[in-house]
Amino acid sequence: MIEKVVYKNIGKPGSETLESYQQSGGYRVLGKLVQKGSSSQVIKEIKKSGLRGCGGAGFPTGNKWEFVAQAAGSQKYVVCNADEGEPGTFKDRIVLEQDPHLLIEGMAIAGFAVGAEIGYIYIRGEFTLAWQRLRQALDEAYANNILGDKILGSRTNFNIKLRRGAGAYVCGEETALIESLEGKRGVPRLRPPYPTTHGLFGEPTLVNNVETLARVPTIIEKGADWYCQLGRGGAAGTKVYCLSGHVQKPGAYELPIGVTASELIYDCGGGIKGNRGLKAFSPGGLSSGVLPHSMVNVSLNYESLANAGSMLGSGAVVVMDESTCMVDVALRTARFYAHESCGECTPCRIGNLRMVQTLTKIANGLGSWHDLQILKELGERMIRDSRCGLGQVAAFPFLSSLSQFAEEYRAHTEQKKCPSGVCPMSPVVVPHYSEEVTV
Amino acid sequence: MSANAGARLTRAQAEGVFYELPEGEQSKVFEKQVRQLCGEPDVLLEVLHIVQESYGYLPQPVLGWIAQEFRIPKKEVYEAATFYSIFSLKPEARYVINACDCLSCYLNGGEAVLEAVKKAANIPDDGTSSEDGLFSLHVVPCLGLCDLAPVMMINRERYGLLTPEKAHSVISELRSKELNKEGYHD
Repeated sequence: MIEKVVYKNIGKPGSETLESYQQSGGYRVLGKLVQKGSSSQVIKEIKKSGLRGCGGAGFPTGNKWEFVAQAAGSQKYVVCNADEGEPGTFKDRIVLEQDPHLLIEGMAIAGFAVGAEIGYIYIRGEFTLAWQRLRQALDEAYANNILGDKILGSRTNFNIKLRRGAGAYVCGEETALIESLEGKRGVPRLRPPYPTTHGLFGEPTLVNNVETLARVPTIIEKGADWYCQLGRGGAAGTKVYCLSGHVQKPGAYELPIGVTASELIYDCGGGIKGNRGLKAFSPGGLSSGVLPHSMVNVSLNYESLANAGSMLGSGAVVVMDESTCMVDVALRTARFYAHESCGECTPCRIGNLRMVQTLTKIANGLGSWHDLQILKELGERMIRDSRCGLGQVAAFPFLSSLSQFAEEYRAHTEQKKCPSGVCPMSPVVVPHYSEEVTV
Repeated sequence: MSANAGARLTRAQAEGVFYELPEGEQSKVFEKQVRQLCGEPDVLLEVLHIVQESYGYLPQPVLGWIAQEFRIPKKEVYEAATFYSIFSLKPEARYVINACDCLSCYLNGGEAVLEAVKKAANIPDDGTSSEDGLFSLHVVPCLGLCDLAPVMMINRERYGLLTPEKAHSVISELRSKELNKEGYHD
């Protein structure tokens, strides 16, 4: 039996209701804390648990909480990033739809720990079911004095406001999310200053992902030591891995952090569809690039993946079988980033367009190896010079696929052949610059 | 008139431009919902969502009205309205299809599904809406439903594990439902 932290209530009938949540012990931790807990103790426990941000960046959560708690400001905010948009990721949606009270409790504990009385949930505009469930859950919580003034008979106040995003991937970046919450275009801010000191409305703001906050109640309840021993190979806790692509059983699996990709793909996912062979996989969302099948035994944790030249990111494992063309995948990925770039900084805005143009040329048999070298240099500059995470990772899927699957790129550019027979390899009109800018 | 009284006027009022909501039931419902949100500093996106839900798109006079009522420059309302892909400045069809073409959907045959959707909904190659005004198609990045790939959403409803045949039948069903509703006979 694998211990679950985030998905502990998933699958129970009516798990989204307050009644079911309280039956499984929900809100007891919060009640105890607000009545006689100490906020510094909570932060200490979270730090000790080694919890890291589950949205993609993996920043130590306890440290972030401490920064916000220590920041000077009369009004502090907790913002929950529920703008889950990383291709291949759907773990947060499941929590929002099936266990919204877990998130609410996590946010309230975070608010208590950092001294914030107002929380915002910024949910993806497309998540209509999750939005309805969350609205119901918030109404229930307010009606039962779990949220509002003097919550659960204590002197603590905590309010949560629900806000919808409107279809912009870049708003998953924390400063863009804050801009969007303020009613503006989702354009990332320059950092520093960080949101921990200058966030929403210029006040200290804690921005955490849904999965991160949903871990908090259980960690506080069962203790950091219990949480730490759940992981493997020195890493702490569990992680929700989202498995999709060419697998028999796609889905979100909560497993000890550090399981290998092969355990996830073959044991949980039932192997590759149609009994074909594995060619490559993306270990942490589109942005983490691709790894070849020879690395299927890599541990899916922060350190091992960083050593392998990738990252754990959001934990979305996308599986590609041997019929996949890596140039085609790189082109589709590049199109995604070109579409989602906010257009504020030049390396990202122009870099992504150039990437789409050049890869389109190559997929149509019009590119040369030299084009790829120029694109590589451009990609390295995008990583270095872009303002936010979007631009900094946008080139990475291409760069990693070029280094791991150079043979395929050679076939496309030198023999003008697509080994998988996916790319058109026939000259068509390459999209013109101006066509690509129109959204 | 004191200086203070002058400062309270928005620019639109000072210039004598007043925006009024279009007449009709839609506007009444819309205004009631929006009035509840007045006075909060962070609600512009939420308001635009309500506009989109009430009118099906963002009509220009309503954007002007929001700027006026919330006392924010019209430019800022327009910036937000154009930045986010969920909002549309043109009237949308009765059924808005959002089909995903991201990696997980693509790997599971998303391209064939997309073609089937286009064909079934009569979406022209160079446009996004069918001529009969029933369907408009947006090819969108990941919808966060990759476990159900390939997926599409039609208005608020989601359809997963699609095949070209399934996508075709979903759309045909919607069309016949709509034709029956209008009492349309061939």
